[in-house]
Amino acid sequence: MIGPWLLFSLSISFLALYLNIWFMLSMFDRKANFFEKVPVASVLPVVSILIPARNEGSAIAKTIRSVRSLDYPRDKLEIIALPNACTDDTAEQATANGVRVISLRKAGKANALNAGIRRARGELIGIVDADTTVSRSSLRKMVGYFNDPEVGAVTTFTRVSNPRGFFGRMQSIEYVFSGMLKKVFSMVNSLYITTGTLSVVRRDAARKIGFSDETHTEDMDFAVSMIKNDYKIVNCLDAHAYTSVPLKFRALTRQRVRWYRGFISNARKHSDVLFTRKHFDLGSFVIPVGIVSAAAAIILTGNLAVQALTNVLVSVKSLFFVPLMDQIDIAVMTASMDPKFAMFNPYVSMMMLAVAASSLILAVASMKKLDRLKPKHAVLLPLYILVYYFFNVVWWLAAAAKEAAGSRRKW
Amino acid sequence: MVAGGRGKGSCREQEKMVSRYVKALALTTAVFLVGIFIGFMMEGFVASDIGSQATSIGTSVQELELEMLYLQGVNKSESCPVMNDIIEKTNSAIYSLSNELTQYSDKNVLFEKENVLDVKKRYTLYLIKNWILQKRVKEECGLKAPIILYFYEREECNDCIIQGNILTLFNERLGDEVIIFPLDRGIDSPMLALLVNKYGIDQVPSLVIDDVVHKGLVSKDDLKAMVCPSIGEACSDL
Repeated sequence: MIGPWLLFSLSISFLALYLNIWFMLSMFDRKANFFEKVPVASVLPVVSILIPARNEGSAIAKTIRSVRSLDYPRDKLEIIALPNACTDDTAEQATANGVRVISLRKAGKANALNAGIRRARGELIGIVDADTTVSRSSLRKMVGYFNDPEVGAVTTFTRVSNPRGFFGRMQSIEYVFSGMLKKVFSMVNSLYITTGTLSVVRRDAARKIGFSDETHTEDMDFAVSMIKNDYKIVNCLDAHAYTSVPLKFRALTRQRVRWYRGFISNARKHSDVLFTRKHFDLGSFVIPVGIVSAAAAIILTGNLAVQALTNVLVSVKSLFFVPLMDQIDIAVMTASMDPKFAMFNPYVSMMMLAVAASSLILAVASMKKLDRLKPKHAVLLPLYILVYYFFNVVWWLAAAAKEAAGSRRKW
Repeated sequence: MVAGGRGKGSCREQEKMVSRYVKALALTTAVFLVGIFIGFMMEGFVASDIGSQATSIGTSVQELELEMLYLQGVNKSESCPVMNDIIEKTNSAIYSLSNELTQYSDKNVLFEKENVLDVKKRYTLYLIKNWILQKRVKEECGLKAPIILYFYEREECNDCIIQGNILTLFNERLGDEVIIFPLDRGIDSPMLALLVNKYGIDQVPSLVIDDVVHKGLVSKDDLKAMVCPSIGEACSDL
């Protein structure tokens, strides 16, 4: 009675609507959480900020300056630069900016971080990549979360420092959405990533767990390990960090394929959290939904591409059988036909309408909290949904293919 | 404060979380059901619209049949113009419904599938009956308009899209100078099977123009060359 394609479309739109409603409930039902006030630390702890860097001589000075200007007592802030396998003046730049430098000959961010946490003086460790700057108030807002002894790490709301060109602008929207996602995930104890855009971690937890380059993304590996060790990772939306994103297609593709491969390889490495009672939110919801969404996006886009290709082929073939002028006439005739008989499915379109409406509510709500909604978003959002989404699908496909082929990672 | 002692996850928090999944499921199901209901209404609306159009075509065809029966005894100079009038009326209704039916894929129909299939079948039978009657009128009254049987299939026939466009163009520009009967080969009907057999239609699209079979896609120019000799002047509009 019901065809496979209709069944698929209905299930996917059901899932999408479910997710949107789940997010809405998370955002609005527990207002205290999404729009919460940050807890205040009674005593400010000593924090060691680690800046791992490989050939970042041109960028590291700016990062160090922003960390140095943090609104935090000088005697409670230690800054350690971790140049590893550098062939440029990263170490010299760091020294010139008056921070402690631990140079490492071996390459690898995980290795550098491990060296850093071994020698750090602070009870808390802050991780800042050399392409990132932090807002003055960020650290002070974050440390209060450690009042809760279960909290093992706190992350920031990351924004794009260079929103230029198509990809820069698209990513600036994307980071707002992923900022919202991270907050919601943290509310169900499923924030599975501690990015190098200032994540503050308990030193003892970091020493116990350690960083590893086994997967493509050490920050997800570390965060999932934290969750497995019963630590909470929370997100502080009011702490802002600014990261410089790749603006060129090739660089962005390289980054994304690495990230998405990291997601897949981490899901494999930590498959023991999948479908367990203990880690229900992360293992039975957040990660599986991430995988299903990516797969569905690939299938939908593939189908769309096949249809588009068929249409193009028919149009091209049509040129040999009907003169172009007549084709225009035919197009007008077809367009003026009664739309109620058009090909679209009433059920799928109703669901799509509901998904679109709820997405819009989510977008407006998250923009309100995270970024001001500006007129330019009226142009950028459709581009984001229609065009940037397509790139993401391609990157997911490439990542899945590479991961399946088990090809060696390229840094 | 930094000492890493950890308490148990609070039970209330856990319950709250579970209830959010359930709540979201309930809300989604509710929206889904509303969507299904609205879709159901839309489907019923479209199906009954097509159904009533098919019925009105059926009535016209029946009228044509009766009038032909009645006019059999009357001399041709009186009966032919009357029958011509009826044919014109029926034909325009048939072509517009056929366009709508071609668009309305039963893949998209959930509840009214039987109904829509039934309408399609009824419509096909009216079409064939009309075709038989018109062929007879053409012979008896010596009409010039070419009669085209067009065999197509809805799914997986890209050439049918192009052929359908060409025929729409002819119908639009030539009006009653050419009479087109589009037949969906996929419809399960013994009468249709008879025609398919008679003309040996083993591929779609295929055209039968005044009993001559043309298999495969026929271009606009080729079709023009086939039908224009009997139409004459009106063809200059093409």
